[in-house]
Amino acid sequence: MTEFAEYVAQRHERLRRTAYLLTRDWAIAEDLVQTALAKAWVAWRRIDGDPDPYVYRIITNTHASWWRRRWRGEVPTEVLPDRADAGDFTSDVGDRDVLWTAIGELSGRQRAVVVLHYFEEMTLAQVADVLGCSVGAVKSQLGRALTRLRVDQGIQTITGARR
Amino acid sequence: MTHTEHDLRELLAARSEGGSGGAARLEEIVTRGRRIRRRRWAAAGTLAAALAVVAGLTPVLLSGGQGRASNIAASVQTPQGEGVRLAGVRLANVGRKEKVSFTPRSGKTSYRVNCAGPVQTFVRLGDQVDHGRCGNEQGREWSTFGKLEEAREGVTVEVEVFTIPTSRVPADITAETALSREDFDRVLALAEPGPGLWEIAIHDGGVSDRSCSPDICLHSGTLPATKGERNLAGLPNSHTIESRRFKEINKRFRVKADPSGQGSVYVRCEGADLYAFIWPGATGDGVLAVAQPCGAMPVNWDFQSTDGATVAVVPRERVPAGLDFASDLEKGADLAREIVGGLTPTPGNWEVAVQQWDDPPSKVKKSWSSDGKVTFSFED
Repeated sequence: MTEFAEYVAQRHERLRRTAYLLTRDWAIAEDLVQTALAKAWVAWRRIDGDPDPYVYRIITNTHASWWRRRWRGEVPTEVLPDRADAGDFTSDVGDRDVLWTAIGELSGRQRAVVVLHYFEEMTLAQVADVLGCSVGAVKSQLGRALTRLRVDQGIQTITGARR
Repeated sequence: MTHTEHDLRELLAARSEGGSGGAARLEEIVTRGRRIRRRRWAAAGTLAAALAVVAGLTPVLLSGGQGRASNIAASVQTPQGEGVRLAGVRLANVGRKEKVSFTPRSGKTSYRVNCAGPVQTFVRLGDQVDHGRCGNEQGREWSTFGKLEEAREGVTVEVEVFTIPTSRVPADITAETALSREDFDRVLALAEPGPGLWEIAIHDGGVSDRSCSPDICLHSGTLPATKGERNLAGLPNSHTIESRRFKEINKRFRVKADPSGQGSVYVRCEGADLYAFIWPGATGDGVLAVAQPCGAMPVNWDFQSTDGATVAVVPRERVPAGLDFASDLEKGADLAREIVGGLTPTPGNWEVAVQQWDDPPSKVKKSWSSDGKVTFSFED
């Protein structure tokens, strides 16, 4: 088995999950991963060291270009509707549905930051490297995303202990 | 209502589980990758072709459209993106595998296959197998070219390459087919050795579509191949000022041209059963310049100056064996005219090109070996 085939065998499932979180559609996610891996195959010999950052960069860039095509001409929602008043969600399932919906309404770049940081467990510096921007820009995007998602970083420990 | 980072992590992990799709489809990924690479190279080739056209036309336009300015040689420049040649092979047989060994100098190694054709070219290095059409087909000159992805700097490798007549390529192999190593062997097994001129050049860096020997790319000629290297045929650099394709044999054709100084006339009439005549000048009244059987190599006449050439191709069986055209050129010319005049035109494909040398005459030295073989040397 070649090095590339080994990489695909080991990493495909994880990449597919990341792609799904970005696209929220399994068919598109599958297509995104296939496209990204095909592009990586073309450049495989030029990749030094860990291919992951390169592959994630292709995935996020490709998704961004698809996103631009998909949303061109439409007006994005600037402010999320206040979901908290939409109903009395007291169960975990209800809370998660609200959060999942809110993630879907983030901008493409904000969603990428959230997914890479909280799902892929990348540091902000690694996220910046993948997205090709500064750490400051990542922090800014993440801050806005968490605000829109109503995720309070300050109560993480307390919540974690409660659970 | 607020959420925590822990909620977020759990949610992302839970929502991304499952989904249809399953295992990776490696074959499809590689097929897509090859398609991407082919598109990129096609785009690069289009650019290279455009540059070459511009480079080729510039001196013609500057000189008033007829390409007769004496400063043409000075105007010709190495094509942009042209790398340094690592290896090159020229062959007169199709249907036989050739191995070309070279040591890459960087991460970018390119190849280009030029053919008289029409043939299909197959190139293999490791798991990379490329193929494409090559040579004269549908009124155009085609080359197969690409990047050798498996070549690594400093590691000597061996590229395998063969050409096969297009008619012998299996129907399941199209331009979009991604080939495996086994496909390369399968097609090679179908090939039958035969005559056919082709060459492969391997470069460190890029390889432009002007890296073609002028006796293969009859209709475009060649520019200085790269950083000092000659075209693989070792012929003077030249550009085509007139080229024609004919569909009849047994008939004399006049090809008018207005070169400035030295040049070459090439007649490509592949096939063991044909014979070519070339008379100097567009009227064809003078002595015979060349009388020679056709073959993989084009029939060639190098001129000092001319206003064109008169050419004819006839069945070889109609040229009596042992007839000597060379010892008495005037008598030979009459004999040739008699042979052609006594035949009825019939369908047959062949072509002719008149090329003007871009190398200044003072820099080209032509010599003949005892067996009549012509060699050129240059003062670069």
